[in-house]
Amino acid sequence: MILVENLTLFLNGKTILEDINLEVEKGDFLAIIGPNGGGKSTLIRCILGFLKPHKGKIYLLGKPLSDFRDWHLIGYVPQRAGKNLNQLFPLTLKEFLYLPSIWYKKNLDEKYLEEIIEIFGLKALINKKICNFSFGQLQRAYIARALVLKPELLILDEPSVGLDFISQKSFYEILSNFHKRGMTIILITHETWLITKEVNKVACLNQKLYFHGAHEEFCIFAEKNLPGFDFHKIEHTHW
Amino acid sequence: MELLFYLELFKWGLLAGICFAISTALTAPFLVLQRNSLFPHAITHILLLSLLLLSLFKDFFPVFLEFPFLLTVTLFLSYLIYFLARTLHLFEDTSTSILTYLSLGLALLIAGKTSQFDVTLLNYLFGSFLTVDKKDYIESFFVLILTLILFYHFKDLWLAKCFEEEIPGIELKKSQALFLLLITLQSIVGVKLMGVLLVSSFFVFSSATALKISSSFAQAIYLSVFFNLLSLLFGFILSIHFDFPFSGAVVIFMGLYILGLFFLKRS
Repeated sequence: MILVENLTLFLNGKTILEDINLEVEKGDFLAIIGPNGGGKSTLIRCILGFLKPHKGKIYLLGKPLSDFRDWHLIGYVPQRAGKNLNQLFPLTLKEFLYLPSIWYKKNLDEKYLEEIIEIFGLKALINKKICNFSFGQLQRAYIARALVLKPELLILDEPSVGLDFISQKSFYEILSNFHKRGMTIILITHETWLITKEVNKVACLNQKLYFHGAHEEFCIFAEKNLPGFDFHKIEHTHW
Repeated sequence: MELLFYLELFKWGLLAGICFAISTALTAPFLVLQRNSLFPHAITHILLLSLLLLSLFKDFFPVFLEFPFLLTVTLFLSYLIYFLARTLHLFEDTSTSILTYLSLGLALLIAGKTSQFDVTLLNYLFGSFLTVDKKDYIESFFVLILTLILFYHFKDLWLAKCFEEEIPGIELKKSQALFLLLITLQSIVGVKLMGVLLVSSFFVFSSATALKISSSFAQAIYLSVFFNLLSLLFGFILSIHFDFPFSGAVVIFMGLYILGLFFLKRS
């Protein structure tokens, strides 16, 4: 699904990503973890073509990034989604959810859209202006929007930041259900204690990729190499 | 009879004004949503420098080259805003302010040294309905047509730029560059009508009011067009009836929209 080979990126003379090799297979639920400024979001921005790496190759759904055109197959929720939303913004949730179909010139499956609206508990808000939404409602709206075109790959950059525990719990349950349906998911997160067994792969990134492998292997790796890391919570968290 | 006389006298001003009012209404809501509503104001100050530079070389310039000259110089100076922001790692509003004041300062120096503190400078600053001629109308009409074409093709991307920095597979930079070019063109054609100081009012009052009271974005666009045209009409009537400067009359009338918003909020 995604293949990253020897990716290196410099920004303002600083090495941000160094010789990254990463493979995401179809059906993976990959959690990318690492410290602030470790390059997690930057790696995703390279994969999505927002930043051009100085070295290395990226393949998306089997095609080199430069030849990739099926962007509707990728759902993306950026970090701090909605931060630029102006209080005057007169877009209703319904209009907001239709945006991807306009951008990518693809028809929406109305039945599926209704299902998404239901899953994310947005039915009562459908005709409301999104500028009046709370942070949690806005996050749900952004994630729902990333899903409306039935993407094969969903990329979420710290989607649950600012959500309370109950909201986080239901959010990860929803993600889990989409993964069970066969969707490939990449999740950047700091909430390692919330990563359940649904996450089958973990990548640990801090400029270099220190670890990339199965969830179980990561727990062993963390115990040996990351002193103080609460790996037991990763392994045994149940809601 | 009297009205017909005024209509004939101000025919080109009114026609150019209608084109200008519609074209700015189609871009202004995006500008307000992008929190960039001071951009046209900066452009007009830069434009004053371009106008005074043009006045220095006017004798050597064929009339049809005046508009391209103004556009080129203004775009070059506007580009310096982004150059400054990128090179010195400044916020864009900071570099916009720097370029605005530098342009204004230089413009005043040129005006002082070339003895242009006269009617010409006043016309540049406050606009004049009387000086708008057929050529200005044609330029406004051309900008309106261009606005309609670009609006049709890029409105969804301009809207996206209001709240998204990046969308996978969608090129927002090109559409945004065209948007800013359009704002520059609109400012240039509006200066003769409204003057450097007040031309940017057409980008703010109507669209902010429309956005505030609309239930959808499409409605905001229609209302923005309506409010701009209403301001033009009543500005024209007020300026004739009370012998006010046109640009001032328009802005005072637009102020009523904001007053209306207060009443709406209270009720």
